[in-house]
Amino acid sequence: MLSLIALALAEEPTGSPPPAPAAETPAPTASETPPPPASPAPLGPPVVASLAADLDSPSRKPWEVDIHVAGIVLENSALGEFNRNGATTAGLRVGYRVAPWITPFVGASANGAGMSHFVEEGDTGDLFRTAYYQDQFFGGLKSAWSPLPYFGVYGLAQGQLVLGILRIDDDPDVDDNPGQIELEGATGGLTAALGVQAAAPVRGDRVDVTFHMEFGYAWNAPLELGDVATLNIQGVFIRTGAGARF
Amino acid sequence: MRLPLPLCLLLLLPACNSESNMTAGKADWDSGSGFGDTGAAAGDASDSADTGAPPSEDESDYLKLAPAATDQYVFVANPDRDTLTRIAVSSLEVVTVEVGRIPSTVQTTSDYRLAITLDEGDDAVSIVYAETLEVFPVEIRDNMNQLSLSPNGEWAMAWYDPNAESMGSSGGVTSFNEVSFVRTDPATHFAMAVGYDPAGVRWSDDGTRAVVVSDTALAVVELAGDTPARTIIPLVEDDASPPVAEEVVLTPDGKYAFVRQRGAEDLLIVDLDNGVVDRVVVGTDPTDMDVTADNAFLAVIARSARQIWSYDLANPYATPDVVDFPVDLPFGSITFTGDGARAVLYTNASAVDALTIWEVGTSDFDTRSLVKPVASVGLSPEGTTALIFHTKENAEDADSNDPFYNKWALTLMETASIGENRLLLPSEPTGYTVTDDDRYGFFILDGHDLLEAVDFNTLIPTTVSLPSQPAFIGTLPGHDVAWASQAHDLGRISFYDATTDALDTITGFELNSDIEH
Amino acid sequence: MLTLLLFAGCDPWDFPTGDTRYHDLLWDPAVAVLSDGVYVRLGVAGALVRVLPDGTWSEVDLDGAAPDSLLASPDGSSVFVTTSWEVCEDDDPDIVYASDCPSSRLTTQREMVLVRDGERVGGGALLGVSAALNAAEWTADGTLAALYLDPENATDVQFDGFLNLNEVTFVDTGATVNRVPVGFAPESVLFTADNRRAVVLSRSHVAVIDLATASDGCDAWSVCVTYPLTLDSDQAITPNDVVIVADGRYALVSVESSTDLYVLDLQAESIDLLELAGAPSVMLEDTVNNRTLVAYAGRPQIDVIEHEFFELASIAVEEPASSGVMTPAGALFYNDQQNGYKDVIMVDALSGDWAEQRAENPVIELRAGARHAVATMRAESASGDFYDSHYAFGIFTVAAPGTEDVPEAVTLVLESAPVGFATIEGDTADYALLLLSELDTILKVRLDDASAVAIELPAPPVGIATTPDGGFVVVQDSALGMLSFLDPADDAVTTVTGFATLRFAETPILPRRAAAE
Repeated sequence: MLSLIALALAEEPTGSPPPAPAAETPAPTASETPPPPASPAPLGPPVVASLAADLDSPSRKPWEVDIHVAGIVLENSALGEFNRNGATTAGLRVGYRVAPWITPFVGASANGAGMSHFVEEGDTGDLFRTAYYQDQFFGGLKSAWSPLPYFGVYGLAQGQLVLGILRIDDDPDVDDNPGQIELEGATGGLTAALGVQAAAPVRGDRVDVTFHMEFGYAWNAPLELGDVATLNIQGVFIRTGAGARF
Repeated sequence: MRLPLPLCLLLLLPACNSESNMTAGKADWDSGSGFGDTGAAAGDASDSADTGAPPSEDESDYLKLAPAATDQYVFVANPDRDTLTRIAVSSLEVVTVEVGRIPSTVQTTSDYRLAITLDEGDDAVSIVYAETLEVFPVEIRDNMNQLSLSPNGEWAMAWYDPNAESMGSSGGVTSFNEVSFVRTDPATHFAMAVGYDPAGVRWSDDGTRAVVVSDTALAVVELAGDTPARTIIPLVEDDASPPVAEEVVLTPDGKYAFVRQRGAEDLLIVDLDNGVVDRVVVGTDPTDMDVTADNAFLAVIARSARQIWSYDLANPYATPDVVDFPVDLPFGSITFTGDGARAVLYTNASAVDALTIWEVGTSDFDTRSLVKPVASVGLSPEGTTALIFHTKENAEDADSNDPFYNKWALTLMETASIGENRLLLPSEPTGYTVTDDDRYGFFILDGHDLLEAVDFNTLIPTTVSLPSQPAFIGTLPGHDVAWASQAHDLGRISFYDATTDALDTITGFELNSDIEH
Repeated sequence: MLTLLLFAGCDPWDFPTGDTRYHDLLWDPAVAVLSDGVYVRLGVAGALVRVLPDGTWSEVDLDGAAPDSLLASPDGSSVFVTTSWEVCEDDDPDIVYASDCPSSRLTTQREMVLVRDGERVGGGALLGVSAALNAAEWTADGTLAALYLDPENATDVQFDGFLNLNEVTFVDTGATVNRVPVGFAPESVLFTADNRRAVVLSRSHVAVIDLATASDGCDAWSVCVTYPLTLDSDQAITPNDVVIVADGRYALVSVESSTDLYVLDLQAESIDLLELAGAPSVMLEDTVNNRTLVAYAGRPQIDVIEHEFFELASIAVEEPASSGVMTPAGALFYNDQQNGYKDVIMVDALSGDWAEQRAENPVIELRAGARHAVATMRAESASGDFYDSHYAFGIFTVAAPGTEDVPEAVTLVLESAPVGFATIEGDTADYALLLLSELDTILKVRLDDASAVAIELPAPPVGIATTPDGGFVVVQDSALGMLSFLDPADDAVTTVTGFATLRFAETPILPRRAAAE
């Protein structure tokens, strides 16, 4: 786990960002009218069930908005020629709980990094640079369970569209030189993840600030970038972020 | 700079004087190769010191590995690669064919149809058609190391000379009595036993008779029939220590042979038809004989007698005509000019720095002093110019301050007039040749990469640089062109045209033997 | 885009760069320029791409193999590509990448393919052709190539097991393969002008191979004749340069560290050696005058060899020449080896006349057309005078010796070192395209008046090549690959970049090809 976290700093995430944790429904507050004399309340599950039901109720802060960073460990070193094998991804995810346990979401992320290449021999150029940029657009479903107030676990599945751009420049010091090559490609895939989330109410319980961390696996069909490269972007990832629920 | 030579006739010059290392050159053969007086050069010196008599004059001995030629080609034998290379003189095209193992010598027939090699490694001769290069090998008797061709090219004879170098041996039996006759067309071998230690062969002019010479006998071989027929005519009664038959001359019709024996005071006349040997008187110490250009007379030098004895070849038994020397000098050699008008008398057996020119048929002599003693004398074909090669040794009364003292020298001398050019040479001449038009002579020097071309009209030599040191030299019949084969690992021969001062060289022709097709 | 929102206001090309990565060359600037595009080897990605002038590029399917080297045909019709791929002997399906395979079970396979129009000819590898072959020679019409291993450039050659170097592999445009054993390791291959024969050179041998059509006594695709360059098997004769002259009749072969010039008569199958004045630095065939000109780096002399009798005429010049090029006006010689020699000499092979122009600085490279010759020249010294301390570009007039009023040579001083140049011969004017290091322009120099215009480039050039259709391709300094196509008609430049990014980021998976049989 720790190693995955370390690698995530330098790897290109391609999975969809994890869904925002389900918004916590605020705990009921005491009313001003004295409560009716109550027969002794039953203890145990019924209170909890009621509490959980409150937490997951669609009427309680259905919107989830998260920003995140992530890193992925690719199963091969396809990106090694363009940058390190992976890069940090940043993204945004927005979800709306439509039913208990179900929150559809959509989002997008992006990353980019470059690398210099030195040619050790010959007299036809000694340097060129490469950079790879990637945008993802994703959508999926998230299902969360919050056994405790402001803490829960979730799972998600999503489909994503990946757009990749490869740029190669044989003369970085010159603008508009002919040796600037740009290649684009698109592919799609699926991601599954499990995560944990925590929330803290702010602004009088109208908005919850959330934090999440999730682990998952992203798979994508091969991304063809012209004749230069075909990337197999898939692997395990870790994502963490913060957001709001309202 | 190219030689415009549509047809070239190469003349092979015979013999190397083993004492003076001189290769003598003339426009034609005097009397065949291998043995006998070429009339111009010295050969192996025969040492007569043990008898107390003055030494014999040096005679010529033919040189192995010298190229041979036809009117269009020069043939070079390659004993190391068992091949024969033909060089077309007009185009310098080189073609190589395989012959037998270790072809130690190559000769061409006078009609230029054939080139014949003596393949010592195979104990065979290869008959090669000059034009088509078809090769017909013929096995002969073992270990032969000498070869001679008949004037008409129909026959070749091989024999073993123990005094000559053999380049290869089959290890078989070596006979000192056998010779091998080979008919060239069709290629057929005939072996026969002749006199002991045959020293050579003399051919009749028409090639129908061959006389194999040995000290003890003459073997007369009739070649006109299907099979050679041999008759042996003994020359001596005592076979144990016969006198050396130094010189044998046939009459033009082949009926008689004159034999000069070393140390003998008479001449042998051999009736080859009847096998009768007679002796005729000759002056004291006969040392040389030569036939006049018209084949009318045989002249014999009697050195000690200071006389020239002339015998009528049509009537050998007639009384010879005797002419005394004009001076008391021991001339021992005689050479007739090509026109027969004159003869040059000289000696190379003693340090005599003079010669005399005899007007043939008269008693007139023109004695000329020389800068140095004579090593050998060459004549232009007509005899208008003599090339007198001098010894390095000096005459007894030589002046040590003389520029020629202890030097090699050459005198170019007009025989019919007084013109001459005395040349100081940097080293010993190793060969010479003359063109058949009486125009040019060429000679080469030991250790120098050059050829000297002499214009007989002016007696002025021209130095021609060669790529490497020449080994043999000759001329091309019908043209003023000399060839010089040179020392080179891969074979090199140059052709020099004296009229255009053009030199062409072909190098690497021995590589051609390794071309694989 | 959200990215833009997140980084609103930033230049999207202003990358944050926190990391570095080190790479080998993504692409090899030694491109192959063909008529159907420019082929570029991507080393990291292990791919071959074809770049088109319209700005597009595409990958050539090599069935998972990576290209190791390119051998393009001179006419731009096709290119040989040596490729390799890794094979894991373990069939475990979990082994995806080469790094997954145990090293003891990982092997490398290699093959050679012929690529044309972006595809492998025949759909696969050239059967029987070793991928270790690193040199190719093509016929003039580009229909046939001879592949062999050049030992001088073989340090990086990889092979498995053993490699048979004693053969030449011929491949035609239809990818039909013929392997011809030559009996020795070839070091150079040339074709005769009629494309009927190939001349293969190695140490100590020259072989002539009959190609598709058999000739007299020779089978097709076999060695017809082998010429030895030496008779000593212990001696290695290394050919230095070879020209085939006289319509394929002769091959002139110069030899390292030797003054011998081998004249191989390919028709008569003979060898002659010419002795040159020294080891030649360059040989040029003058097909108009049927002569070969030879220059020597250490001797101020040009030798002219005619092709009929191979007679050699020497021309004394003032400075030695190390290189040369034929022009319509004669042979143009210059020295690109020694700084002290700056003469650019035009020689008329027929007359022997010569004329010189003076280069201001030592020549690096010279090219000549019909009217002008241009040369890049190096700075002699940093502390010398103005010309000496700068690189320069010389413009010379191509004119036959003896031409009057020949303009003086013009020298342009360059800002930086030249990295390449090309020439354009138009109907009315000639131009040179000159590329300078670290400058983002092409200088288009009009040779008639030395005026220049600058054509902008997006990046500094590193080389230029000519396309088969007469355009130009400029290779530029970019790590991601950059080629600019220049149309000389309107100086329009089309730049293509980024082709080296192909899969550079991906780890290549094992192609899962079977091992080559």
